[in-house]
Amino acid sequence: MATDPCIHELRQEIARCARCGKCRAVCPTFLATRDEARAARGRINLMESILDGAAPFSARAAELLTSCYGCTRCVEQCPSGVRVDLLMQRAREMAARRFGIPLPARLLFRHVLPRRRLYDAAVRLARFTQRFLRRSRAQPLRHLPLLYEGRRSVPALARRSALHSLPELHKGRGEIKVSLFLGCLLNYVYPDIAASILKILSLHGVDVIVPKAQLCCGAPVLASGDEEAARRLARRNLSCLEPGKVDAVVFGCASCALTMKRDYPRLLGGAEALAAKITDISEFIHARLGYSNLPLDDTVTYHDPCHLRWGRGVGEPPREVLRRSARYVEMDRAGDCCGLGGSFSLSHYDISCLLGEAKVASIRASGATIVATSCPGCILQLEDQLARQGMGNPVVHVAQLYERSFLKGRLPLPGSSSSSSGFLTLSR
Amino acid sequence: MDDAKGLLAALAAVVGEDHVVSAPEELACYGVDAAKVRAVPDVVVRPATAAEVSGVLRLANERRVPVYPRGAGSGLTGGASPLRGGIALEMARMNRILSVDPDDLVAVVEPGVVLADLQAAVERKGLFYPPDPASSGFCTVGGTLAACAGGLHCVKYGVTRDYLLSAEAVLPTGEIVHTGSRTLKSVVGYDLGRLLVGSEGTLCVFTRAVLRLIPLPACVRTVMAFFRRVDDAVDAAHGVMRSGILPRTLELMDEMTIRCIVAYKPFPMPSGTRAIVLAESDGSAEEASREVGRMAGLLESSSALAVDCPPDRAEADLLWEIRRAASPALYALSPGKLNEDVCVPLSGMKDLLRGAAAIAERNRVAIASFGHAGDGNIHVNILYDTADAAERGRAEKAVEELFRLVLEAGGSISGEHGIGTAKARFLSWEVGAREIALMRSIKRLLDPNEILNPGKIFPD
Repeated sequence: MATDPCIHELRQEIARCARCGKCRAVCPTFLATRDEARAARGRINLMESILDGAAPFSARAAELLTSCYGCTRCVEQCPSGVRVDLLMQRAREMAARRFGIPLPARLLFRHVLPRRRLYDAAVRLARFTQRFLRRSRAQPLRHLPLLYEGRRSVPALARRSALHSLPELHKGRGEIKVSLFLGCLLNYVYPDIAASILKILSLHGVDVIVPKAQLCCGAPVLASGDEEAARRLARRNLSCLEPGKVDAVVFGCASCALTMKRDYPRLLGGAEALAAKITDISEFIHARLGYSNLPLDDTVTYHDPCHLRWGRGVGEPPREVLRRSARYVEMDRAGDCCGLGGSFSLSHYDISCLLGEAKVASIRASGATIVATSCPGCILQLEDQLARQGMGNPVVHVAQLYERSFLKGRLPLPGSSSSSSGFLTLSR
Repeated sequence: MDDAKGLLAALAAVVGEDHVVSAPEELACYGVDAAKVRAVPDVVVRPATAAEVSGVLRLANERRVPVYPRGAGSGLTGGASPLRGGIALEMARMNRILSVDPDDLVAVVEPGVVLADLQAAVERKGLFYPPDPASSGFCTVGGTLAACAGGLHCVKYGVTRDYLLSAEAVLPTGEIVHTGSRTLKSVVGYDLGRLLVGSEGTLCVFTRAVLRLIPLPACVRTVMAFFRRVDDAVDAAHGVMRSGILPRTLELMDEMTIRCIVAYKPFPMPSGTRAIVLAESDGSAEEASREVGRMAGLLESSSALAVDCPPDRAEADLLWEIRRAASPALYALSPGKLNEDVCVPLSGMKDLLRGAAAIAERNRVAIASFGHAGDGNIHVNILYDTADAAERGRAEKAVEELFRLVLEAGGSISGEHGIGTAKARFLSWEVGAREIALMRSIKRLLDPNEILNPGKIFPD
């Protein structure tokens, strides 16, 4: 193993870490626990010790390493430019090889996610079981057993997935052509956001392809360390998004975009072409569509999704879109993680809530009515955390606010009683 | 360590089982600190009160186990490294800001508070805590006390020891002592607080500090000047000081530093720039404006290539990006770096910078110098390739030559970073034998069993 070139690369990256500790200023798991073992630097030390044989690669070590949930903020902060995210990804893969992946996850990642019809059926089943959940006080309430712990609110799965309701081909003026990647949350939970994005593009005469063959981007699969299963998903997505035939590949989910941009080139040859065309809808609006909308009167504040702000360095375009679409106020620590971290909040809900509480406090202090963001994962978390604090601020996608300002006065506010997505609360 | 289990049980009785960490996986996380010293503790203990700290130290004395206090482990001289294994005393749980009092102008804090959090808390009440090391975003108050941290504002506002009014600290034998007074002035008996600040965790563990605050200046203005020669920059900087201005900040960057910075991020600057002076004024809007205007005028008339005096904070922040990029730029270029922070009398700065350049050439290493022109404390960074042992050897020789140069000029081998382990072998170069003997007897008096942070400051 010592002669493995990958190990050599790992050691080289680890050696670049100056152990200065600057990551402690921003690492969300460190800030929540004040435990060096849950800071980027501590994890790097642990990884090095494991490679040196000075620490055992035990289940505990794996848990410490994989408790990093990939917000990438340390990467942005690190004065030495250490790719902690790539080190942690390797750690996940090593942990998966050593300890295996739990069977339900393996089944899901290897057999359900690659098969759209089977995935649809699984979601329909889940949606059916949601009928038996209790509704929350203010919002429709349901109970989702099994996967969740504690008192958390989850949105209802949509009646019709976005891939079912949106047309595959939307003809525009023929000047700009894009493909649109949705991701699982937009597809199954927030199809209204997907519809908003398509609407925005169609209003501007853009030709849009929403490939029906698209699959899960593979982010949760990579997070579990199953590189092979992720590669299978990547292959299909790469082929159906056809980056060579479009001007841009547009995303509404920051995590899907980062996964494809950063990880697909590592998983597949030829993915660089896709990576180069990836853009968030707010970047696309800002760079290509412009602002012929009329700003709304509502005050809105913006929460930076970690993967967009820190992973891709995109902070200004969504803010500019919001400035031109409503009355914008910057909240304190907008770049702090909301606490979701993908499946992290399932396994570490306590830390997830600590981070979420701090975020809700920032929202409250900002005085804004609406919270906007660019990632459905963040929306999920913010809705839950706001509900926990008894706050009813609507949480919307930047695209939705822009769309509404375009059709000023003619659309209901997302999150109001007339909106299609209901709201569930889970309790033991 | 004999009777490891017995020790663990005894420690658990003091701080609770949950706060004794002995799993090798977790201990490994503590294995390397910011000085890149490799040392893994035998156990990490996380106390919540002074009584618990006292209990741990008493145990350590009974069993002769070394104890290494630790804040954020961000010190650059290995001050927190558990060289002999032993007990790493993690102060992170003691992280409350107990009070910020705008009437008495004091803040009362626990040692684990992150410095930036303290600064933000006092600023919210219109107050100012000036010590501002570059690590403020993650270093802890306890660490800044142990190291007598400095920062950018020292020229005008002094260093950490000027701000500790009163401390609660645990001595190496476990006794809890209180130094000083909550008042802004007091001279009653010996100043134990001043002895403890800067003692680098060898004389006490701080458990509470009463820190002096001053009113927050309403306005800060910035000016940056670009020079063709570093000599001109030094002259210009000192011209500012001699004109009767005491700036809030007075920073200098040399040619090598600038080259690294622009390689890292291509900031626009006049061509031919080989030195930069960055200064700040604070006070009311009029005072700051007037003073920065005077500084700009003085810098301009000192053969500056250009002088930039931005009218607003946002533009000033862009200039500060250049200064802040210095450290990351050096790391990016060369992870191997001997980061020395020598201090010379102001009149000796030109010779220091010239001397550093000569040392670089003679030893065939790259040296980048930048720092606090207002107080003579310059960070002299000797860069080397970590894979090249010969280059590392030359870098270390360069450090020795640098120290000789500094001491001959009547300077000090460390302005802010302290001795730790990194400079222990140089202690006797600067401090006389009689004085070292005196220091050692003080250490022996407080720590007869040599329990607390052994191996630091004094060479073994």
